[in-house]
Amino acid sequence: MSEPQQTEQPPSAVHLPAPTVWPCAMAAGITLIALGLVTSLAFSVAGAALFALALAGWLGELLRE
Amino acid sequence: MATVEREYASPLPRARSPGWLLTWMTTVDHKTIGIMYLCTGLAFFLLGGAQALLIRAQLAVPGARVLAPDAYNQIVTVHGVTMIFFAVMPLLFGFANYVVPLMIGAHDMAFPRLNALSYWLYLFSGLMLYFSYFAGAAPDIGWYGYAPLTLYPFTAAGRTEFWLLSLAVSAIGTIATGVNITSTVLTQRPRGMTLGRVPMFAWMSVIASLIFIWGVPPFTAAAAMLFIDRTLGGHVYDAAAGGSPLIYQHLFWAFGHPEVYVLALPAFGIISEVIPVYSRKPLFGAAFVAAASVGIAGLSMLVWAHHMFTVGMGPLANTFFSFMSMLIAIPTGIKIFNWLATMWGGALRLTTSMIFAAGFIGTFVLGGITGVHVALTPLDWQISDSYYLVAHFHYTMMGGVMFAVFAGAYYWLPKITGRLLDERLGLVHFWLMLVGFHLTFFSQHVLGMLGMPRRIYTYPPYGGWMEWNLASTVGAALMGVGMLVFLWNILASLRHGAVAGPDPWDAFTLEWATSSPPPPENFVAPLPPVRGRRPFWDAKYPELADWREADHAPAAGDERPVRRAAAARQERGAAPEPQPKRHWWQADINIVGVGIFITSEAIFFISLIIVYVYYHGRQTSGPGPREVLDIPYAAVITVLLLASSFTITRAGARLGRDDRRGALLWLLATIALGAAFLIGQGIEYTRLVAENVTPARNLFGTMFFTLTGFHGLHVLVGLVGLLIAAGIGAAGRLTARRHGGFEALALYWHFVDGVWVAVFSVVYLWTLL
Repeated sequence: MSEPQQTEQPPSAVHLPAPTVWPCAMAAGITLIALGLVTSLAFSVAGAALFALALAGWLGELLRE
Repeated sequence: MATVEREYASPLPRARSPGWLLTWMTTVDHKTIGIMYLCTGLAFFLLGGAQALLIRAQLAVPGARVLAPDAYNQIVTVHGVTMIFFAVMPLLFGFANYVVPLMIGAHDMAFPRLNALSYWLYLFSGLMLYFSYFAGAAPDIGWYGYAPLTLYPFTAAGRTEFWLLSLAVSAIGTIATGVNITSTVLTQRPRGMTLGRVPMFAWMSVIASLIFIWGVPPFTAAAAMLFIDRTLGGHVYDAAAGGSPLIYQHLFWAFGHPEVYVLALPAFGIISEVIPVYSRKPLFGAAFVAAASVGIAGLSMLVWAHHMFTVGMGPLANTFFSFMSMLIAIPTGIKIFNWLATMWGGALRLTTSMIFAAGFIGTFVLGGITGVHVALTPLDWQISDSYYLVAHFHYTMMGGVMFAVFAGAYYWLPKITGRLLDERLGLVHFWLMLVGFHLTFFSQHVLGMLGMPRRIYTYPPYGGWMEWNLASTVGAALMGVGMLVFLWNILASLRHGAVAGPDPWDAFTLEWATSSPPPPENFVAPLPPVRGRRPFWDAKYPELADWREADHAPAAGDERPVRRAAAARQERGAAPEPQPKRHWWQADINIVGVGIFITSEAIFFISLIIVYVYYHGRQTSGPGPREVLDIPYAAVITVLLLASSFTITRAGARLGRDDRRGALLWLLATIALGAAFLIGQGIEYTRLVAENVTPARNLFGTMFFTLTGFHGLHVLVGLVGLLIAAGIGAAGRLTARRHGGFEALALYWHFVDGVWVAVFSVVYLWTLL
């Protein structure tokens, strides 16, 4: 087997998003909203608050990029 | 953005390192997320498998008391939901997440954070489903949740809601995943990788994603209306009030049947990667395989009612859906013959992965043949709701899709973990699964022919059912042992498996052109040039490169096809290199993503509008639209909303010229118009409620508030997006650099306005006719 020819040059430094907790928090918020609809509305309220917090955090990260 | 320039030992956080849980929770790396999908999917698969063993233990002999009737109904329901939505589909998403960006030479998915959101929605929705057991409300309505069984007189509080809401949350994540996979393949390919050169697994993952994106909205609409019936006293499925439970079946199967192909197509993609590599030949007729996938996708949307032959649709509908269902055998058959032709004359390597792929072909063909049986209306009348259906379904899903998943596991796990799996244990796993599977489900064909209905928790000791049920249970136990062997193989491989190296199979596609496991940025070294469907192979064997010759298939029976083909190519010399070109869909990633999402939303509203039109004038009591709707008033708020499309267009144009102040002013005007529309709608609702026109009043009330309410909800979401954009603008951060993102938001707003034109025409203007 010969060595692979490599002609496509990738960027010298690859830009990837930094780790973030907001997607996890937003998913938890959405799930709590849904859970509250079948159990207690307190869950939905907490979920909505968590969702809003996650959305704000997520947007903040986007703006800092 | 953070710049990844530091050294990573592995993309996998180590369980014993400090903060490992936070590392998993915060990752946006497609590889780690792919591993999380695979691990969670496997855990749910084992859970669903344990439920299957309980079902089989209950049915092993007549009159068994392993499960009480209610518990049996719950386990059957949760088993189905788990396997389809929380096990098999996420396992395929796991491979897609991990492999597709690598295959196309990308550094990550198009939307890495959205990818993380999708995974967490999937996990939490699965946990919510199982939380129902602790809440004493585990669903017992079947995975399909047919109305009117799901309505209040027939199902206890909470059971339908847990099923419905956990699936709704899961669907949000799955649609996001579909949008992400499609956007990734459309926008993140390297130079030279045209759509015609996209690896088959990536291609079929895109097609499956599109099927889901377009297939799930009818079910979302059905589930939303079911929720309204249960919580607001609606009448959509209430036959006494003019509703129809059959509407639910139509909407559910408009999703349910395409869903089969959401699972099957990525499985086909795995097989289309595995067989060529272990046959040492390119995929025979690859263009036909790709086109057949599109054909399957199209046909899958037109066959839903073959699940409803017994409801009495009439000969015309029965004939149409029977014919269309049988038509699907053609593109599916094309794939089967292409895989066989790929193997024909190839230098076969019978690895565990290849053997599972071969097992897939045989089993899936059997499932396909019984699929033709159930597509025949008269035959379906005899076997509908019998164990024959259970057998057919599991031949396609378990023997088909899961065998492909196992083939993919033995093929790609060395890339993911850096360690090879044990081939001898793999063979034991394969034979236990193959024998166990056919013992389990072939027996169920016979049970169906003997008349055993599905969904029964026990049966009498006559009719010849016991022997076949016992055989089926023994087969299920064999598969359970097979899964234990598979787990042992994975654990042993992780502990002391042979090092795989970057390219253990001498493979074709770009995921093998990097280390095993790959670094966070996927590719440190430059990518090989992409001039054909097998860029890594072409780079390794330039003298055999596919792009040098279109027709590279060796003659059948040739014992050394690769060398023979090489000699032929060398004689003919090199072909000119194809010129890469970019297409409109690669322009802006945000517009692509939102554009794809909007197609899904459009089908959701089309579903609601179709139901509204079907029910027009069918309310059995109370007022209709002519009596209660104020057309001039609705026309005024319509003008306000439509004017907002103009203002947001102006805002986008100003932003494109980097006129930030002008953009912000037009944006504020859009917000004012959108808010005025919503306030106007609120005033209309208040008036109607005061006149006792509510969702619970009659069928018209239910449909009016459902259709206009969901539109209003979308306006509200759009308004929140506009407010966020305005906030960014007020902070002076809304610049021309964010023009693409703003245009994506504007596209969504135009869509919402467009939907209102349809809603206004159907709900209001129709009353003038």
